[in-house]
Order: sequence, then C-alpha cells, then structure tokens
Amino acid sequence: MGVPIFAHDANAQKKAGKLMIELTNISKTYAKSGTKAVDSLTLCIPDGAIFGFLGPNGAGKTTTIRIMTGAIEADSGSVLIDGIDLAKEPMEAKRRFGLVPDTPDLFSRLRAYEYLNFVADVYGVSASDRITVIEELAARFELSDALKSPIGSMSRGMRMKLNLIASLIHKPHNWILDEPIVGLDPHAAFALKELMRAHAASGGTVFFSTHVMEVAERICDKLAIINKGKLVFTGDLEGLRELRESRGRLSGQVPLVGAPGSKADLEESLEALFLALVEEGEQVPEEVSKL
Amino acid sequence: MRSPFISLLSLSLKSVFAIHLPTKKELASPKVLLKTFGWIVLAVVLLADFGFMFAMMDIGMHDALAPFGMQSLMLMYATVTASVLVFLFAFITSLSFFSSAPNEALFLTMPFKPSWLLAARMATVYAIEAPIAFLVMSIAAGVYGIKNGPPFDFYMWMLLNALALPLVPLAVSYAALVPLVSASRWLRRKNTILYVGGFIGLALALGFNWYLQTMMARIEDPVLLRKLLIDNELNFADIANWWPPAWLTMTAIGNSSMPAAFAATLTNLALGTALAAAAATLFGRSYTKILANFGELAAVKGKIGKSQAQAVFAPRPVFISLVQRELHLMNREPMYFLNGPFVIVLLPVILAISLIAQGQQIQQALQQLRPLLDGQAGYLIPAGIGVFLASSTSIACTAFSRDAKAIYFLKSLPLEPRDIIAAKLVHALLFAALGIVFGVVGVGLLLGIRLVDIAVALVLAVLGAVALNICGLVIDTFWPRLSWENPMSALKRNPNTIIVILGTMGLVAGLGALSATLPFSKYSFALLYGTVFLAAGIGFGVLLFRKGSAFLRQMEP
Repeated sequence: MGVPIFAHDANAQKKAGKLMIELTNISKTYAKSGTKAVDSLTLCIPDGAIFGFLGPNGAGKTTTIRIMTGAIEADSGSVLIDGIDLAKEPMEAKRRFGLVPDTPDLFSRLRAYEYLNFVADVYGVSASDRITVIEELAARFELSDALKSPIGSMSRGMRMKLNLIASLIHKPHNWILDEPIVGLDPHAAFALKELMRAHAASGGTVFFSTHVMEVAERICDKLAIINKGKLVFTGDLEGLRELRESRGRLSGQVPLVGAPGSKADLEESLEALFLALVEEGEQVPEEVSKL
Repeated sequence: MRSPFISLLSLSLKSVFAIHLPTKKELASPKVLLKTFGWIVLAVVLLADFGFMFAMMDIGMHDALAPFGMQSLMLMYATVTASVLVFLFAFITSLSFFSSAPNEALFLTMPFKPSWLLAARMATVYAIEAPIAFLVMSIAAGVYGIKNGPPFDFYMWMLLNALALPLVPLAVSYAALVPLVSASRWLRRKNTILYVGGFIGLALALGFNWYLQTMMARIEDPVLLRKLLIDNELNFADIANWWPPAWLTMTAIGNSSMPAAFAATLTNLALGTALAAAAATLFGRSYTKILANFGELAAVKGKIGKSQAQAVFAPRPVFISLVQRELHLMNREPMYFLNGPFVIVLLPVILAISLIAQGQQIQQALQQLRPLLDGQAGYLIPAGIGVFLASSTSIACTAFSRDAKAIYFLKSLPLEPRDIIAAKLVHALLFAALGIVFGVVGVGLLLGIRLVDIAVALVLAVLGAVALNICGLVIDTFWPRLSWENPMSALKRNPNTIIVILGTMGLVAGLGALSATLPFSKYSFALLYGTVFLAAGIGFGVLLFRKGSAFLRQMEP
C-alpha cells in the first residue's frame, strides 16, 4: 500500500540481527488465584506476516501478550523481540513494538491528543513525525474531529482507534494487538485490516489475538491456537486444513458440513476444528505437534 | 421466587453496602485477620467518636437545663438536630447517587416499572440516613433515660420516630432533584454531579463543624444556652413546631397518653412512607429519562489545525510528560481532586471556622498559649500542621492504586520503573509544598509567630513532609490496591490512605507530647526531629528506589 507509517528502518533492524518475536518455554501462574494461565508456551512469530493468536476467553491470550510486552513477568522462559532479550534489555526491546491493549479505557481523564502526545514523548518521537502519523491515521480512522475530546467521552470503538494510532506513533517494527477488532465499526475494521496487511507487506511483524476464527481465517498468514494456557496448534491455514482433512479421514471427529471441498464446508469445518481443538484442551494430538 | 422489585432492591442495597465478611477459612490468613481487625477498630473508633460527641453535648445540655426543670428541651434539640442532619444528608446523598446513573441505566433494559427504579434508589438512601437519625436519637434517649428514668414506651417512641425522620426529607429531596436534573443538561453529567455534590457536601461538613463548635461554646454557658433554646436563637423551636416529622416526634415523646403517642408515631411513619411512595410514583418516569439521557464527559468537536498542532504536539522530556500525566489524571477526577489536593484548602478553612465559631474562647486560649508560643511550640505547632497538610492529600499513598489497570500499559512502554516512581513522588511533593506554605506560613502568621521560628518550622515541615510522602509511596508501591471499579475505592476507601493519615496524626501528636515532656532547650527539638526526619527520608528513599522497581515489575492488577 505504500503507507509512510511503516517506513521503519528495516536496514537497521537487519543489522541488529533476528527480526522476529520469539517466546521460549513461557509459563505463568497468577499468585493471587493460583491459576496457571500460560504453560510452557513456545512461539516464533516471523517477520512479514500477520500472525493470529486464537483461543477462547480465558485461554491465556492476554497473559501471553502481557508477558511478551513486559507488562507482567513470566515465572520461566524467555522473550526475544528482534533478538533482544526483554528481561535483560527491557527498554531497548520495548522500543521495538507498539501495543494495542485489550482495555482501551486506560486514561479516561486525558484528552485524546494529550494521550497521543504522552506516548510520543515516551518513545521520543519528533514533533514533525508525530504530527504526520497522527494526522494520517486520525483521518483514516475518522478520528480527526475527536482529538480534543476527553477519552472518557469517547465510545469504545473510538478509544480503540485512539489506541491503534498511539501504538503506531513511533513506527514500530512489531505491532502487537490484543483483541483489536472488538468494538470497531465495519469501516474502521476494514481500515485496520488494510493497515495490518501493509505493515506485514513492509516487512514488519503483526501479532494479534482474537477469539473469532472467522477473523483469523480472513487476515492471518499464520496462526496459533491456545487453550488453558497450552498451545494446541501452530502453523498456517493450509496446515489447519490438512489437519482437518486428516482428522476427518481418520476418526470423523470433525463433522463435514455441506458439499465436501466447498467453501462453506471449509469454513465451517475449520471453525469446528478450532472448537474441537479447544475442547480437547491439554491433550494435544500427535498430529498437531508434528505440524 | 422473589418479586423483581425485591431483587432490584436487594441489588441496589448490596451495591452500596458491599461489605465482604471473611469466611473462617479466610480468617486463617494473618493478613486477612489483621485487615479485618483493623476495619473493626476503625468502625468502632468512628462510631465511638461521633457517639461521644453527641453524648457529651446531650449531657452538657441536660445538666445545664436540669436546674431550671427544662431538661426535656434536650430532647427537642436532639430531634431537631436529627431532622436537620438527615435532611441535609438525604439531599446530598440523593444528588450524589445521580453520578451512578450510567451504571443504573442498564436496568432500563429490564422489565422494571419506573417507580420501582426510583423506589429502590430511595430505599438505598434511606438505608444510609436511618442509622444517622437512629444514632442521634438513641444517644439522646440514653442520656435522658439514665438521668430521668422515663417509662419503657419513651424509648420505643424515640426509636420508632427516629426511623420515620429520614422519610419526608427523602421524598422532598427527590421531588426537588428529579425535576431539576431533568431540566438541566449541565446537571446530567457525572463530573458536574461529583463537583456540585462534592462542594455542597464540603459546605455541609463545614456548616456542621461550625454548628458543633457553636454548640460546644454555648453549652458551657447557661445564659447562651437559654438564648439558643428558649429565645429561639437558631430557630430551634420553629423547626420543632413547623417541620412535621420533628413536631410529630416531639408530640409522641412528650405525650403521657399512650394512644396519643402511638397515633403520633404512626402518623409520622405513615406520612413519611406515603410521601416517599408518592415521590417514587410521580417522579419515576422522569427519573428513568434522566438515567437514559445521562452523559459522562462532554465531547469536544473540532480539528487541531496545522499551526495549533505545532504547539500541541511539541515534544517534552519524558519525565515532565510523566509528571503532567499524574497531575491531569488526579486533578480532573472529581473524586480524587476533592479528597486529595483540595484537602489542603479545606482543612485551613475548617480551622478558620473553628476559630470564628469559638471566638472568645479561642482568643482566651491563645492568650494562655502565648508564653508557650515563645518556646518550642512556636515553631513545632506550625511545623506539625504543615507536615499534616502536606501528607493529607493522599497523593503519594494512592499513587499506584489510582493507576490500577493502566499499570499493565505503563509497564509495556519503554519507561524506567524509577522514572515512573519519581514522577509520582514529584507530583505528591508539588502539593506537599502548597500544604507546607498554607500550614506553616498561614498558621505562623495567624498565631503571630516570630519569623525565625517560621523559618525553622518551614525546614522541619519540608523534612517531615518529604519523609512521610516517600513513606506513603513506599506503602503504595509495596501494597497497592489495584482491583477496583469505582475511583473512590482507590483513594477514599484505600487502607493505605487511612494508614498514612492516621499514622501522620499519631506521629504529630506523639512528637507534640514528647516535646512537652523532654527537658530540652528550645531549638534542640528542631535539631532532633529534623535529624530523625532526614534519616527517615533517606531511609525510605533508598528503600523506594532500590526495591520499588522490582515491586513495580511484579505488580499485577
């Protein structure tokens, strides 16, 4: 798309070494509730792709994102952002991603422009750069008229749009989004998908969580499915389709709906496979680990 | 199956009186046990404090009037006090509850009659007001009962009428407020309600303080007391004669005939219930319209122009940006502002009211204090007030609690934890400086203290305030309260606030007592306390900046 927002310094990134997000053997148990939210999770999120992170409510998606962004500490395991260890060099690692949090109503007493300015100050963005990004993205998300408003006066969708702008203000290489589609109107959802595509096309990493299989199917290049803190699938859509077919042939666990091979059949059976994987929970089938 | 109205009523009451009583299993944890014990002690202290205040006034009044055989006027005083108190509190509570309209609007989607919604809200206000009337009336009944031994039915009429007293004020409050809020778009905003309610509440508290101080000054003087009650100064007799709930109460307790007393009590209860029910029925529909049209914050339309953008988006150092964020988030939230920074203004006003209300007595007391003010008290009193004001804003001891869920986002930004902590400390110290100026310079000039002593007091207050604010921040960094839905829980209902305010009061009082006991020369105390404050400040500072970062990294709302 040639959007200037994504003109991040790819050469400098390449010189720095690996360009991806790597999570190795991450585990996290919440002290208060004793709940094991993430269990020995290992993920490699490549550059130049949109990576969907799927799972039902309470599966561990938000906890994983909070760990990979340094918001909470894992009990064990490591997180590398573009090859930089988040635990050892948190400041440097955090500069390399932009986060859209799952709760868009963080600073309701600030005005929208004050919030954007705060985030821009934190990342040390120059005046001209921040004005360019804000003007362009605010126009794209139809938020230009609301920048003077207190965040508390905005709808959930508008707050989400504001967070999307804030997350891109420093032109990050890695873009991490926690349930970004929730609350967005169709126009904004379309604009977001376009932005995600453009970001991946420019060589950046897009990692987003969702609990809706349909969303993942439409925009993901790669995906991972998590349930009860454990990874139950990782691969691409083709891999998921292969899994569907192999499981359908072997055990008939995944019901085939509609004419075999039709689009409706494929979509419904992928959804069904997602549900089946989630229901199986911790028992990861052998064929999944092979994929 | 419960009726929908009873379920609604139960939910409304639970949402206000959400007291979680720990189970036996939970009490096995020393932390829970200690916390529960602390809350019980606090509740007992608060109840005993107000109870003691009213009891002392009742006893003083009774004893002053008894020689003239007019001790029953004390009951009139109690009835009028309870009536006025519940009226004012019912009004302010009813007004404040409009701020929860956005949450209550959810009920509009359920099959509730409009009158039920208003009735459930009124019942909640009643549940808050009834104990106040009950407390005032039961203390008066107890004092009068011990000293005069009236028959049993006296107590019954006192307490039953106490339960009736809040009903009419409740009906009148909603009859006035619902049309007012319906008519005014400005009032149908959370911020407006919180500010208007907050300021009326503060005015009420100041008025009540003035009233108490005035009464205390008069009780000791039979001539003034006589003027007050018999010559109808402050319109006590008028209120007792013309306000129906008060008049019916006086009729019930002053009537020796059982049927007449019963009839008066029943009329009081029936009148209140009927008026409250009528208000709920008449204004129910308007009330639901308010719920449906309530706004949180006003949106501001309009683009940021090219030339404006250069100024608006000018980069600032990260630390300045962090401090500014703290200032905006605190001072734009009415709940935080009124109970935080505004306290610096409020407390001196309360002090001034006490001075004015007690007039001559205070002047005399100051004359007696004069020799003391030439000694160490001359700088210790202003320093103590300055230290108290500087740490009473609760800014430091709720710094992380107020951020709550935003902590996750803050931690995901490339910010050094020590910068986040330092910004919170600077924010607290900015207001502490204001408190010190008000406390030390204001009180110093008011008491006519020498400039040298004011200067010494300033140094002491700065050292003490810095130490206490760092201590408050240490407490909230190590034990923040991060799970809450209502901002009030982060500040007003935060145990850290209570610990720091009571701790500061205790420290100031303790050092005051120590200063009166130790045989040191005048400025030795300044040296001693200054050194202790400095050492404490350094100690807490080292603790905060060495361990605080680790605690912040582990914070999980």
